[in-house]
Amino acid sequence: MLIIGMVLVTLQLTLLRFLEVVSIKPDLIFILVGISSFYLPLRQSIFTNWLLGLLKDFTSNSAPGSVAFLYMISGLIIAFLREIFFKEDLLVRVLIMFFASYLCQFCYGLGLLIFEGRLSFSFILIKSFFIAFYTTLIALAVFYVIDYIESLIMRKRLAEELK
Amino acid sequence: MGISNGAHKPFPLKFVVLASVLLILPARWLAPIELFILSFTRPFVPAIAAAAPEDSPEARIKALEAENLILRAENKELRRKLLSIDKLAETQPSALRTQESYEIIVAGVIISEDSSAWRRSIFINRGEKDGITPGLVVVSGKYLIGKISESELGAFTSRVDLITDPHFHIKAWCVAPPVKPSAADKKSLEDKPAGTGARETIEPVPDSGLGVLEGWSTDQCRMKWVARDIPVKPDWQVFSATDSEGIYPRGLIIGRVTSVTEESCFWRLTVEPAINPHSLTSLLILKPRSALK
Repeated sequence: MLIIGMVLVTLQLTLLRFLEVVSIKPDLIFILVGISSFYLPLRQSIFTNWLLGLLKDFTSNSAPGSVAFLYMISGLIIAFLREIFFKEDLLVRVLIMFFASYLCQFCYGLGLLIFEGRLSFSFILIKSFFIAFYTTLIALAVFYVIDYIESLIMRKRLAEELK
Repeated sequence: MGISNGAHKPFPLKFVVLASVLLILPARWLAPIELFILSFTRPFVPAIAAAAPEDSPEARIKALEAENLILRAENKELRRKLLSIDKLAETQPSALRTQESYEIIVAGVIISEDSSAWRRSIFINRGEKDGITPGLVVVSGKYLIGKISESELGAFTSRVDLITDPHFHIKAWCVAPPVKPSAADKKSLEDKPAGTGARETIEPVPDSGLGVLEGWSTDQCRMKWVARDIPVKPDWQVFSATDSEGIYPRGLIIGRVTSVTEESCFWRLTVEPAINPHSLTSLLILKPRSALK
């Protein structure tokens, strides 16, 4: 998971400029956070999310540990919600991802507002929404691909068992 | 006394919600409501003025006060023109006297992006060992790129806060494009009879306004606190102004104004940077020579 994270960080630092729409960039690392929170055990996912956040902290101009903490909390929220809702449904997973991503981006923007006082509250609300929306769109495609691969693996196993 | 029968006071949820909504709403939405309420005081002003009879001492005082107001406005306009002549010399993008005032350090760009969606920064290959200190100006020729970040300065590398980063803010001038004298002005000067005295200059002075430029976590910047009496329009140019510490040289090109909006008693300008920093591979860092002593 960390190796994939490094690859995504490299993509985020180089090619993501071409995916930018009206100064809005998707958070590719957060998609990994969502995947680890949905599919890994709780303790393992917390540690993985924290490390992914630290990776992002080192490659951005943010206080070290801030994004790591936010990713860890977001992972906890996703893990908590997956126990309540039916996680096999694609729409439910996407909605949980959107909610967690919005909360994470909003908290980061709020930190900028409180500690640096530069951005306005309404701007943070709106920008967080669009970042979360863009991230969730990409996450939707990723979850669809994961589900397709899982169904292929299941069919292959069933075919082998029937033989 | 106090609460009886176990009833409790209801929590003022509606008030909290209303206060939160007012907190979120932009100020310019609430300004018309405020002005509408203040307009109710208008009928009382002429009633008080009409109470004084003509040729009375009060009437004479009022006439003198009105004349005083007119003279003050004319004086203010003439002072403004005089100031703008002086400011024009300061805000012209003259060639940087970098060799006299600043030591130039060449830096290469390692990473030209920030992985965060909220920050705008680039990573360069110069650090403390090369004499870099936090807050130094980073330029590309005569274009301002940003400043050395105060939080990420290593021995051999450092991070540059771009002008579009929320952490970046400097004093800046917005200057009107030079206005060429019209054909009517030239003709009126030619028609003046000889010997009438000193000729009036027909070269109009471009307007300019001082403000604070800051990054806005997008591809553009904002310039705030520009006085409302300056007739700012789109396509005005934005340059850096000197600061009290002498770190920022004046006249560095920042960008141009794309939109102008009202913000209480000031203008708020949206500024498009003149240069795209993500396409650069090398930069210049300006270190004041006074800091070397």
